[in-house]
Amino acid sequence: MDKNGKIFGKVSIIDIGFVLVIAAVIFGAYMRFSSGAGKLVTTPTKFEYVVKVSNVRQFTVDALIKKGYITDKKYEAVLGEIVDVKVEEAHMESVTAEGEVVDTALPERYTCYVTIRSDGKEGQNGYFNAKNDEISVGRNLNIYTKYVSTSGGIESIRILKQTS
Amino acid sequence: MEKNNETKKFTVIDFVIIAVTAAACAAVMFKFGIFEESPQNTSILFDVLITECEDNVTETVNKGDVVSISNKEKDTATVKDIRVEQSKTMTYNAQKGEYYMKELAEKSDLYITLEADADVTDTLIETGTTPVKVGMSMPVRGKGYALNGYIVRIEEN
Repeated sequence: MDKNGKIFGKVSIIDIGFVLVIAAVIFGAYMRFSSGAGKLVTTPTKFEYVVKVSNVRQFTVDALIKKGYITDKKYEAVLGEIVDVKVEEAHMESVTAEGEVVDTALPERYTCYVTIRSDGKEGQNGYFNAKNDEISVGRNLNIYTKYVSTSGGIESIRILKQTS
Repeated sequence: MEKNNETKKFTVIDFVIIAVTAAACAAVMFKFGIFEESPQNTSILFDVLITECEDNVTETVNKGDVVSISNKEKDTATVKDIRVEQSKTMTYNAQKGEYYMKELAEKSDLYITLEADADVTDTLIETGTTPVKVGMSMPVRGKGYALNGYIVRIEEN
C-alpha cells in the first residue's frame, strides 16, 4: 500500500472495504430470505387446494362467497385465488345423557370448503406457495381476501399442471 | 509548482457504487409501493358487531357520532345506524342430543353501521391505515365509550 492508501497505487482501501460490506449485506439478505425447504430442487407448479373453514356464521360465509385473491398477512403478496366455495351446515359429535354419540347440527353455524388455485412450487419435500409457505394436508392456513379474514385446515391438494 | 498531471477517471469501483445506490433507491421505492397501482378512493359502509352488551352500553352510542376505529386513534368513521338484537348463546340439550340458540336475558347484540372513506384495491379495503375485513376485530371509541367488536359486513359505495 502506498502513502495515499492505495494498493498497488490504484485501488483505494476504502473502496475495497465498501465493496466487501455490500457483498456481505447481499449475502446476508440472501441467507435471511431464502427458505431452507425451497432450496432443494423445485418445479414451478399450478395446484388447487381445499381449505375447510369450520363453524362460521353467515357473515363469514357471505364474505367468502365473494371469492377474490388470497394474500399474505401484510395484504401485499397475492398467493392464490378462491375459485369455489361449498357451504354446509356445521356439525359436531356430542355425547347425550345416555352416553350415546350423536352427530348434531349446529344452529346458525356453517362449514365452508374453500377451493384455492395457486401458482407455487413442487419440491422434494412438498408443495409451496409463492411465499414459500408449505401447503400440506392438515396444516392450518390463514385466509385473507379483500373481504374476509379467517382460517381453516387444508383438506386436500391437487396438481393442475407443472408450469415449466 | 508541479503541475498535477493526474486526470480524474471513472473507475470500476465508482460504477459499482452508483449501481448499488441506484438498486437501493429502487428497493426503497418498491417497498413503499411507489410502483403499485393507485388504490381507488371511495366511501364504504361496514357493520361492527359488539356482543352481549348491557343496556347502558347500547344507549350510549348515537347516530352521527364520530368514532375512532384504530388502536392508535388515527382512523375515524361516522356512525350511520344502530341496531340492537337480543343476544343468544348456543346451548346443548343432553337429553335430546341437540344444540339450540337460547336468548340471554338482559344482554343485547349491538350492530353499529359505520361509514368511512377507504382505499379499495383488488386485495384490500383500507380506511386510513386500518384494514377492513369481515372477521377482523375493531375498536369503536367515541365520546364516553370504548367498545370492541368484529366486522360482520362490508358494503362498497
